[in-house]
Amino acid sequence: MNWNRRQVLWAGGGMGAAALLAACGGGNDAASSGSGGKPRKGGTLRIGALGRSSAIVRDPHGVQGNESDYLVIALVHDTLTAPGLKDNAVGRLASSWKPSKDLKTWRFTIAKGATFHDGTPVTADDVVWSLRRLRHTPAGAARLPGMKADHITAEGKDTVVVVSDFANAELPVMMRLSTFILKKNTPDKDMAKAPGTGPFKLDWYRGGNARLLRNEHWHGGQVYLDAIEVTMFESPQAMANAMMSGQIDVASNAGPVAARTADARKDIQVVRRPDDMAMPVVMRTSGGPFADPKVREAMKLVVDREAMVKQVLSGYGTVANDILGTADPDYAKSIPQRHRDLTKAKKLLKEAEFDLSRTYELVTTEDVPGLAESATLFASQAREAGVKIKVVKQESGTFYQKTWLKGDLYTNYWGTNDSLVFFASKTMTTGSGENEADWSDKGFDAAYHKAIAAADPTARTAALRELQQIEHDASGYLLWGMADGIDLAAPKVHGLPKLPGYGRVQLENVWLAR
Amino acid sequence: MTATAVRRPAAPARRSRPRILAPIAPAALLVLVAVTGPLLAAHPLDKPVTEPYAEAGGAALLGGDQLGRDVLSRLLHGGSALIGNALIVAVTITLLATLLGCFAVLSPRLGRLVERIADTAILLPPVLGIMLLALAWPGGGRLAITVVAIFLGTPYAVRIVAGAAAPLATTGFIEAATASGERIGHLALREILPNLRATVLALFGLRFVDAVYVISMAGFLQLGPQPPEADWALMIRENGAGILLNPWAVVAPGLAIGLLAISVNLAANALAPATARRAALR
Repeated sequence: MNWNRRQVLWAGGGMGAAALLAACGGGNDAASSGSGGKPRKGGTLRIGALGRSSAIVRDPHGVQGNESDYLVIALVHDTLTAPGLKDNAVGRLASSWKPSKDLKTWRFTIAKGATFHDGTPVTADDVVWSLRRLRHTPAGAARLPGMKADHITAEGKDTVVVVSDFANAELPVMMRLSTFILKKNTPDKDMAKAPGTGPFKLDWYRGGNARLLRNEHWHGGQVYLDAIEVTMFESPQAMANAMMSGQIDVASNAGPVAARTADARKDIQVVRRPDDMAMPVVMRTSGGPFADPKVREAMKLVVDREAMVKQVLSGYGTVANDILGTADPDYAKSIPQRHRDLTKAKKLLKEAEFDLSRTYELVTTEDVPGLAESATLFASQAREAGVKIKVVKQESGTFYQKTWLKGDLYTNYWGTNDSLVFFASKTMTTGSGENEADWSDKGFDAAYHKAIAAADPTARTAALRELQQIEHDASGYLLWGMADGIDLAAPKVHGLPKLPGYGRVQLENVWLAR
Repeated sequence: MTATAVRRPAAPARRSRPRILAPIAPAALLVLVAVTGPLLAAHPLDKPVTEPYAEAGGAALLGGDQLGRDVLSRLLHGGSALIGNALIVAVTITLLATLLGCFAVLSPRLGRLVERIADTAILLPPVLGIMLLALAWPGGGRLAITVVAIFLGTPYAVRIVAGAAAPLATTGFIEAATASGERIGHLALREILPNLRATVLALFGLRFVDAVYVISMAGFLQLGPQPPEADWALMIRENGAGILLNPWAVVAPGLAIGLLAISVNLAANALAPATARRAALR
């Protein structure tokens, strides 16, 4: 029986079947026990990811709203650095990096033996071209903060020099996001099919679904899977159903309700990745009803965080303290946890002369499981303090056009949460690219620059502590909790990523037991 | 003389009281429960009382919904708005259709116009109309849905009334009244309308069921009521994800909508004489 199944798998995978037959001939029965074992080569992984056909973005340097597109792009293309188990940034396409003494000039060395899928080696010119292209996109300023396109240059064949506008000890962390490297002068129209350097190469892509084949020559090491089939699902529910009926092997980011449903099933494993998703409520700080810091503090005191985690996330998450970047090693656990205090909230609202007769709109979407529910529950909790909030659900496209970065009060989500500096540079320093609450605080900016300019770890930690205190006290973010990332997988799937955020798309270590 | 001949069939068709009461009772009971529901609910409709999608039993008789709110309490809260809304739609459509239909058979020009508009409107699915309005009038909520339901339901209903009234318009007593110089208003309201009672009643029942269907559909598409409102259709939509954890969160509001539609139709059927019912369904 096993024999037949294996043959079927290989027929599906299609590559190097004969060699694998020989390799597995020795037998490794322990691998199927589900407790790990020796990785085995071969097989096709069928993975489901969320996405909407109306939001498909194929350009690696575009803003991918679809989890499915992002997954495909991240498997085909390598970023310069990636999140690691111990460090916030480990090498991916860049094997090493070195800063100058003043922490302004950084030299990145490209990994030895790195080639594109068509066989041509990766040169510094390709990297420079890709980074400059990324910098020139509308979101470029937020993705490569403080790095001008002209200040990214090549030095020889394998070294890229980046000169930052200011001292930045965290520059490698910034190089994790969307720094997908393509061949120099790839025309815009060929972006979707352009060869990458990643562990898998694109076989085909049709309307959100894709098939990827193993890159035998990946510079990062051995890849086990023959192929990955990505299926796009419009709703978490549809994805969970496909998982339950065995149509897919892995449901990526399926959400807590699906996890609880799967708990009753012995044939599905639930993988929890803590600190995966931040779902903050964003309050506009530069104008509107929440411009007064006292009002914002009151709102942060109104929310019942424990209840939010319990009811919205079914307990699959942790309470947070209005500071984004909860998985950072320098996250300040010493700042006292804010708890619900309706008396104090009411007092603050009174002092700020907050208009309690008005009804305020809280805009939300159904993009990730639990987001709309969090808005509904928050609205009901706020009513207990006399603040009338009406939840308005928007379609994803409308939300990003009309509400995001502009609205007075809206819910949002972030999938990368292991860096305080990441959030500070992208969303909180004055004039940053994606300043969602339009916040500007001189003390915060100063603490940020002090932190990223610090070469000494102790000084850096102290500056980050100050930064977090200001963020906790005054920013426009109400962060009530962190959702665990929850993947569902069939028992035969091993080596699934355990890291939150970007880590979830690193599937090169996955292997299938018989 | 001719007038009595036309009116007569309604009288012998009347059935005995208990036989009429039996089909009306479920509708009356359901409406009563829905209206008094908020008073019977054990828990507030927007506060979590148990874990999300908790199984039925214990504190919550029908379990919890997506946020751990009591399904039963929300079910009791959610009916009155739907029934009230459907009632408004059904009454308005029936009134408009009766008036227009009576006038349409007497004025050929109005008759043709009504016919053309009705042909177009019948072909247009309500869901399309609702979505168009949702685009044009974002945040219209229940009011927008009510307007669409009335707008799309009326032409069809006018045709039914006109169809039932057409034979009357050619009867001798109308011709006699026309010959004696009565105005069109008098003809429509005093001569034709009283003979259409049965049709109008059957029409009302059908329009109510249709209104429940249109409003529920809009609720399911999240175009009408918004969270945290406890609307039956919205409950089905919101709790779909947890159907395996607590089926009642979806099944109970679904049953409620189904029962409402069936029982009201049953009641209207019982009240309207058989001949008129057939005319209305045609």
